[in-house]
Amino acid sequence: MTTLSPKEITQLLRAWSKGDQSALDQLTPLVHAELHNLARRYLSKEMPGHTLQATALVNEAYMRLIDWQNVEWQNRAHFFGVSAQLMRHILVDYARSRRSHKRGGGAIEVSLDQAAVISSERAADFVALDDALNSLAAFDARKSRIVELRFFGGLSIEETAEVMQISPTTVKREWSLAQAWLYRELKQGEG
Amino acid sequence: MQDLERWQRIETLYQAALELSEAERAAFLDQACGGDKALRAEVVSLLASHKEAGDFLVAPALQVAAEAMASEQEEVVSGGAIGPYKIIKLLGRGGMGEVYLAQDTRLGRRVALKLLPAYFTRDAERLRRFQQEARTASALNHPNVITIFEIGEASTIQFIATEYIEGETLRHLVARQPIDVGDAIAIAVQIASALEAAHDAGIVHRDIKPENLMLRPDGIVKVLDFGLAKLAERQALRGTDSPPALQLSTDPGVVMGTASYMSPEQARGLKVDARTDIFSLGVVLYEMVSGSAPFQGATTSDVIAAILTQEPPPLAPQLAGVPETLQWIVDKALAKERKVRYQTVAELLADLKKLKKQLEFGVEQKPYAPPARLPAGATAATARQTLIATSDKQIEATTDAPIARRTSGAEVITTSIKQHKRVAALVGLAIVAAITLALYWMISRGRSANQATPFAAFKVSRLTTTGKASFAAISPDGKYAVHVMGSAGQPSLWLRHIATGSDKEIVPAIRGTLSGLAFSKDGSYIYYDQFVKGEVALYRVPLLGGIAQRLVADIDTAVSFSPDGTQMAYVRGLPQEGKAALIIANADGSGEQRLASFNIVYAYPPLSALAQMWGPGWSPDGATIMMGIRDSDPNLYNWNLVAVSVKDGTTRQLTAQRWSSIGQMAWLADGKGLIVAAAEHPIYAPHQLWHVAYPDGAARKITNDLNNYIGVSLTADANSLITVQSEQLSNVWVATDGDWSHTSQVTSNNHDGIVGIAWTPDRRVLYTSIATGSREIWAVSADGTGAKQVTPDPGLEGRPVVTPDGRYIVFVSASTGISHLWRCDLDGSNLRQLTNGQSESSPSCSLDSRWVYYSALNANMKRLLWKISIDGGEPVQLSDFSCGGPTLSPDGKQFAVTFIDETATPKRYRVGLLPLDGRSPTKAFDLPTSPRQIIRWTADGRGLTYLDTRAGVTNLWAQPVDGSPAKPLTDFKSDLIFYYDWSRDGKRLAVARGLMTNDAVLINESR
Repeated sequence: MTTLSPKEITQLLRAWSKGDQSALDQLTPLVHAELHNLARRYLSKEMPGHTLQATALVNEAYMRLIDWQNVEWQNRAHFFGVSAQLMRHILVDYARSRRSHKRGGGAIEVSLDQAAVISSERAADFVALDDALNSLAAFDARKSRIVELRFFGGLSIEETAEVMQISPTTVKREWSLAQAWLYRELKQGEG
Repeated sequence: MQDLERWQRIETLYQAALELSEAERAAFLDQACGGDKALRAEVVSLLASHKEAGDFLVAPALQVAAEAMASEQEEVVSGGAIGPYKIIKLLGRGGMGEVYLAQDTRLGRRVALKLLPAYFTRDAERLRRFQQEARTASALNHPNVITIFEIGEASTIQFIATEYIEGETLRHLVARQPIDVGDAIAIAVQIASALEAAHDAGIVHRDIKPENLMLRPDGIVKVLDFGLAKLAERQALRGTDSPPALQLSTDPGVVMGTASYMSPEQARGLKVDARTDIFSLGVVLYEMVSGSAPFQGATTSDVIAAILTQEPPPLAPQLAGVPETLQWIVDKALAKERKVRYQTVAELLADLKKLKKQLEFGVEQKPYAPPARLPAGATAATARQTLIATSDKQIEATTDAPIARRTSGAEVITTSIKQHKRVAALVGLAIVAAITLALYWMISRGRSANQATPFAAFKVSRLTTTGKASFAAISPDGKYAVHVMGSAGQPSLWLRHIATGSDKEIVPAIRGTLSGLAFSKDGSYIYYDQFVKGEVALYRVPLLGGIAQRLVADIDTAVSFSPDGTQMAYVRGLPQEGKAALIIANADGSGEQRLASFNIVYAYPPLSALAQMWGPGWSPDGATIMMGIRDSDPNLYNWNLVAVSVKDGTTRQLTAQRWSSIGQMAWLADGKGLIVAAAEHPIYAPHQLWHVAYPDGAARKITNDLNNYIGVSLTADANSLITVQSEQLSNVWVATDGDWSHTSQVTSNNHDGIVGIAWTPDRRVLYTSIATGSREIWAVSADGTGAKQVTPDPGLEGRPVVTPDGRYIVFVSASTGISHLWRCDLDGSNLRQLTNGQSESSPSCSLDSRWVYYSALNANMKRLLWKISIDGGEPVQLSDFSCGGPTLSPDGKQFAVTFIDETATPKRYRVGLLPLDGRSPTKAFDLPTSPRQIIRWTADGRGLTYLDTRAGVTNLWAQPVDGSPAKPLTDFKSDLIFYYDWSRDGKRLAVARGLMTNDAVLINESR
């Protein structure tokens, strides 16, 4: 197994954003590997609860996939947009394949009720979320994008604000509504 | 679908409401929405969702997915069962899934259950290929490959159920304690053996690392996870020219663990083949011995950079106790270029086994006293052998020779085995202490004491311990030694600074042979012959390495320089002319001139030129060049030193002494003699070092032991010389009925059967042994029991045959100084000398047991065929042309002989079929005709069997007498065969198999 340099990842991202599907083939396993690795850490109880360590590990994983420092693009917004889009693409695709594999339910699919009970491990049905985000984008693209950047891209409120060149307050406000709307969408879909 | 304007209103109200306390919101919304109840309901619903949503989508997607994945697997496992497997406990967790100890509820057996991570198993096609490969590997049924019981799926989880191995991974062992070199090699042998089987089946492991190697308490190693690595590899790129990449694992521990064992081609993302496993095994071996991985770095990238660009630190300085051979093996396995690496794991396995055996055998020297029956003039030696440890561990072992034991055979063998174990342990320790192995022995000789006798007393130090040093030379100032290292057609040239022991590779490994080493007179260049693709050329390379310069094409010996160093002499065979020419040229290869020509049949180099070091010697006064030539009658064993005048090319025979072969020679500084590597006895012909006085030609042995000495190189002051000491280790093995490669060992004295093996009618094996210190014939049952000395010691005996009636053993004995045929009963009684001619050899008995056929020299020193009655008497001459080694066919109608085919172009040694009348061969075959060749008939008389050694491994072949192509009979992957014999019915084979270790030794004159 080997690694790709941040520069190579950036190049692949650029290629992918221009429509090169083979770039996706190279990027997908990287995401899968990060995913599995994190899952393994959870399983091995290395990350009890949401400690700072857990957050740091997740952030690290994102950093490896989406590198802040090495972005040479003139348009950071574009770059992070593409990154988040990519993550969304891969993770949703993964969830979709698991669901079809299992015939009946997605692997990454914890019911919202269950999520409510175990609030700290709340999860979402990525496939339904993807659909809902598409619906949202149809009448409020900015909110959809904020969710994409924050949830799939792993960016903080401030980072999202920087990328979108709006104020953090705006991001916070828009995020709040998007979250509420999506939550309702998904819950309805379930019922 | 939302109305945009309405959505904006909703948002405005939602955000405003959020600013308020919950209590205030109802009033606010009543007012703001007016009568629009739907609008109000929408905002209220969203506010409720907001409250309920909590941290919905707050944790990043990656984390959410990972948590979900984790709980999914936990769910399955916590259920306690996967399919029919009841989970007992977690055994471990790795990059490729979790492993549980489980109970197969159907069969009641315990299994190791590996759950594959979901993302590995998404691609159905890849999964199928993996399953196929894993099953194929499992089906190998190899003791070192883990057995797979089932590959299946339950609750969407792919699993592999394998045999449960109680033990620990090599990772644990390595982490816990340093591994003894012997153990490490034993482990590596098992891994290599598993890989060999897998590679033969077309399976590459791709992920050999300590985590994938299980050690059972009984020492058995099991290789896990065949095919799994391929599953984890990323999909092939779809026709893109972007740089290929492999999958990234982000756990630093895992990445390090995995990256450290990657081959350079894996690191580059190139297609991998079996050689990638060889590299990884090299890494594992290195780590076992040194305790740390050869390629290290703080990050994965650093580790990969190290794999691609750095040479690992040598093993030896890190840790005492590492045999040089191991360093050599590890280096070859870790070659970055695949082409330079071991090409097959079989080669690696053979080297590992050899080393293992060597460590077990011990690297002992076995000098022995020549038998008392040797004629005066030959030496009577007392040998004393001392192992001196130079570092902190002082070990001393002495062996007095001759080893005068006359105990019963069984006892001798037992003692001998014990001794070898002890010696092995000792040698192990000795190596641990990084010793200089020094050997002293004093040789007295009956010459007046006041005359300075060169090398009358000397000290021998070992320069190499790899067993792979084929040739060596010393610089004129004695500071440097150069030696050829390596076998199996991939030698390299190494320079040793003798004082510090540091080594430098000056000519990297080539595919071919390196030979003919010589330093230029000023010591600034090393000359060598390079044999590649059927062509030999002379090269020179600067002392400390650099660009090698090709000087002379077509050369057959080492060069010898004129006293001023401006010219050199060498021999070139010219088969088209039927000549061998002694040639003089300038030191840069220009200005060639032919000084003298000889019949090629008579002049050296002989047939096995490249296995020895040959070369003329230019005298210090510049007037004479000495070389080895056969007497004008071409006998098989009839060599002499000939002095060629540099002035006019005239020749003069130097000595009365005859040798069976002459190798390299070097003049002493005063010009009053030479040191010559030459062999005396035809029946067992190791080269010894001789001192030959000039001009009177008196010859005297300097060394007198069972080793072969390859080449002679002297310092300018002639006080030190370097040669290569070659030792044979051999034991007798037997095989039955067609399964000739499956042999079982019947003797273990390590020098058994080298000079002869024969079956008796009662299914015992006669073999030569030096268990007593001299060489006699012994007998052992085919099951290895009842070993017993047959002929009395001291003797110099060999080539036993049993008469068809089972009454007598006929054999060659040189116990009187010259080989003669002797006879005794099967139990060794009634010993009787049959012949008293010159150098009789190779007896073969007539079917009626009344006659013995053999070859011997006639009065003109010509080797002819003879027969003599089993009761002795007058010999009868059968052939009138030179030939040797008669072997009678099973129907008794013809012989197989070795002869010089005068009708062939070029004239050469061939194996021919000769009618009993001995007139002329009816057929001839080009079989390998080295001095070691043993020709036998197949039981049906339709074929000749012979030995064929390729890349250091001998196999038996059969040449049908109808001339159809020869076929191999055995499939040995390692070791040499020194001798063999078939039982009369052809159903049993006995072979003397073993090793030849070659090490450069420095011999210093002590005054």
